[in-house]
Amino acid sequence: MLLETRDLSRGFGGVLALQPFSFSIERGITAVIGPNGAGKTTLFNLLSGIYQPSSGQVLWRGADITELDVAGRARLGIQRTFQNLQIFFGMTAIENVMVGATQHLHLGLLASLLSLPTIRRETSRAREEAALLLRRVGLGRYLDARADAMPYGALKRLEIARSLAAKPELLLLDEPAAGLNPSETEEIGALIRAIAADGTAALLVEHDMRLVMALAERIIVLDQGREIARGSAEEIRANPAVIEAYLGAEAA
Amino acid sequence: MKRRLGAQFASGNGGLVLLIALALLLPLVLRNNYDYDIAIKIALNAIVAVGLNLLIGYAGQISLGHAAFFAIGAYASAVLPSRYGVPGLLALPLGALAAGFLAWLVARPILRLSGHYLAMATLGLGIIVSIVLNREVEVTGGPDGISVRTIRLFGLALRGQPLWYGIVAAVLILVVALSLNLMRSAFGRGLRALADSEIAAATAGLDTALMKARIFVLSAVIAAVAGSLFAQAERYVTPDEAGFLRSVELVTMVVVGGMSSTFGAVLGAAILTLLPQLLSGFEDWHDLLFGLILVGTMIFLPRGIVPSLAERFRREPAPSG
Amino acid sequence: MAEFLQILAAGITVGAIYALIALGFSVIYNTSGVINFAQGEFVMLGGMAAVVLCQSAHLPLVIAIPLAVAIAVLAGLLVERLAIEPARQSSLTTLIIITIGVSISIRGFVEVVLGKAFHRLPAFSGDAPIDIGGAEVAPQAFWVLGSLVVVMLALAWFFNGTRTGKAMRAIPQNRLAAELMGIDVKAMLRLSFALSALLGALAGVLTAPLTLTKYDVGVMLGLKGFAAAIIGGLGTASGAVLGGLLLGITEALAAGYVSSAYKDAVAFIMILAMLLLAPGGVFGWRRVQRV
Repeated sequence: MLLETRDLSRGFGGVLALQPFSFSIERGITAVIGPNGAGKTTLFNLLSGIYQPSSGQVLWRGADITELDVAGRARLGIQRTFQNLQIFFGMTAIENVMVGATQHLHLGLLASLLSLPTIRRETSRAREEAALLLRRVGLGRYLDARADAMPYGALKRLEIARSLAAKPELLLLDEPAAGLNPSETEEIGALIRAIAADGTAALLVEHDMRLVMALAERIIVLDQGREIARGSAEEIRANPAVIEAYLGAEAA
Repeated sequence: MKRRLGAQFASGNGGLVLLIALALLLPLVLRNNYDYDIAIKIALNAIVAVGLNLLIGYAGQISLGHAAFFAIGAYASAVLPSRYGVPGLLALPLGALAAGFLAWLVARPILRLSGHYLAMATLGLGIIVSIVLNREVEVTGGPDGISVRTIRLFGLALRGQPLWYGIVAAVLILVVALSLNLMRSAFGRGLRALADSEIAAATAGLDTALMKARIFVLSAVIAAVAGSLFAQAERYVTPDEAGFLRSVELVTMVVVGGMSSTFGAVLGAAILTLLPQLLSGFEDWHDLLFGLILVGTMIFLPRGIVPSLAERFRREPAPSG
Repeated sequence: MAEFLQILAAGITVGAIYALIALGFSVIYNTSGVINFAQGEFVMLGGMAAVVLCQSAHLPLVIAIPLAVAIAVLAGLLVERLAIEPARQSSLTTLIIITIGVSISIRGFVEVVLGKAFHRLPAFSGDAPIDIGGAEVAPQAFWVLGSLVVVMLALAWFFNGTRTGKAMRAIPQNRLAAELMGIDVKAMLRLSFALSALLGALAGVLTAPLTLTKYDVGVMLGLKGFAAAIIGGLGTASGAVLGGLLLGITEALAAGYVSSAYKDAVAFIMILAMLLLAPGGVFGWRRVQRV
């Protein structure tokens, strides 16, 4: 069991965005779905360390990491992509990915100033690995392209490549298919499947139901901060509470 | 061949060679001590600007009080030898240490702020230092300033503008090389990353608070070193060196020459140090022109001269690997 | 006791000036999220223009003062149109630097036209000090305080009672919604600069008889006004006034009882303390989105 939450909750000014929620993540692909305002983003921010919970705990491999900050969790092996694309637009694609690998590199200020051989070796190795990763996610033609010149679909994959550079054990994907057309969505789905097959656990928040049903081994459904269902794709598809939540949201 | 040359320039090595060549050849056109003095001032401003550029251009922070660190270095070199008998050569590292210590002390709390609040906090710090230098007449000589003793190295007096030009130019080249090295390293990429998206940088495992603090201290130390050299070369220091207007001047150099460009910072320093020289006889117009250049650059060339020009060169068809 | 009252009176008077300047900062910040580092120059323009109109054009104060304020308002509109509007998409750092550049330009312009000398504006109702409990208070001080009160009432009426004022307050909350409701955001921004320049120039005209004026008084006054705005809590009118008065009084007390040499440092020490301990200011701080 990699990541576990126990009665994790988060309130904002009297409103509970996420009510006490417990679950655990193992290998494979898990999805969290739900109508808007369900608390999915809140959950993600709690898991990645951007929010501190109002109550409850987050555990990694059994150890309590509730107090641990974003960078600390990253160093444990938790990575995350962002719904609104937090790309380093001032850098090239390969540089973006190289930054992803930073936790495995030396960051000594003095050594960097003097450009010691260790630093230089690391940089060229990081560059090679970054190039490999970019090719792996299908961005081989964008190696030295500036991020601000790349199309949206490519940027979504760039973020994934960047998080893979950190060699994570768990990858949190925040709406990886948002804004993508059907063929791009299929490509990203294939990519996620490949990543999970390689051994990285994946937790995704997604609105695209077809993608979720095709990829996820386990699905958790949230609505208005509460969990209303959890199970396999078939179970969720047939679950009346889930249908109600979505239809109810659409009718509203 | 052209592509390789372009690559060398992009990586900075080309620029460094050019700078060294310039520094070596410049004395051919410098006619007298006055000319050398201007060259010295350009180089000193360039040193501070390169350091400040690490903070503003690469790390995306702002400091409206950097002149204070420059002045701390300058006053250390002035006051420690004459009032406390410290050897001149030791005063430079001590000044750098003092500036670095002050920067370290305030870095964490101040850099937690952003935008206007950070600007204001650094501004406040700078002005407080400048006021202290002005008022502690006993130690600093007050508004009238203080003269600086000449350093003696192996019995030889280190005096004369041509000599100090050589020293200062060498330090500038060193600082530029260090800056280029830094930006090519993981630390440098980390800085640029945290400027673009602090949250994503943290997600990549970077201790952004520590990195910001470190670069703040580094840029303060560089400014202090330049200040010490200034004191030795000019042999007189006044509190004006610490003032808000001087801090604004330094920021202008970085911003006009080019944020996130080491050579841009050098160019900006050159342009703005030469400006008053070009205006001799029209000193009153200096402020107005300075202000207009600043506003104009920010509106029309918001990334500064060098990056904007580089952008134009990049638009020319060049196959990428 | 008399000495204390004297110091207090001086502190309140200068505090009222800071309050007016801080209000100017708040108006622009509240409408557009921009901190106008050139605010101090509006103060300077008010005072200097009044001096020129009085001395060179020999106009009576009653005409010179409104005219001087009008000149500053014009400058404010020009600044907004020429320097702020073209740069509205720019980063925060860029905008900060632009307003600093504007302030240098205005100062430089006045330096070229009027030189570096000190100028004096005659006091509005004479110099004969009025005795209050042993303290000698200049009549000008009452003009300053009275103006502050009038300004506060006028602003309250404007922002709460008029359509334009309410519209200006709506913008930073949600710019798109404001536009959809028919609010001309650009015009509102221009208005905010004009209003801010008016407040600044008023402060300049009120303080010139007390403190003399010259081409670079704007620097310190602007910074201190900004300090006052932060101390009170950036973005609220009551904060601006409270911050101004608090700063003025603290400065005067420090100068009188601790050390006059460090009087100027007070504002900046207070800013640092505030920013590091309670960035929200005394009254808390409204987060304003940049429009």
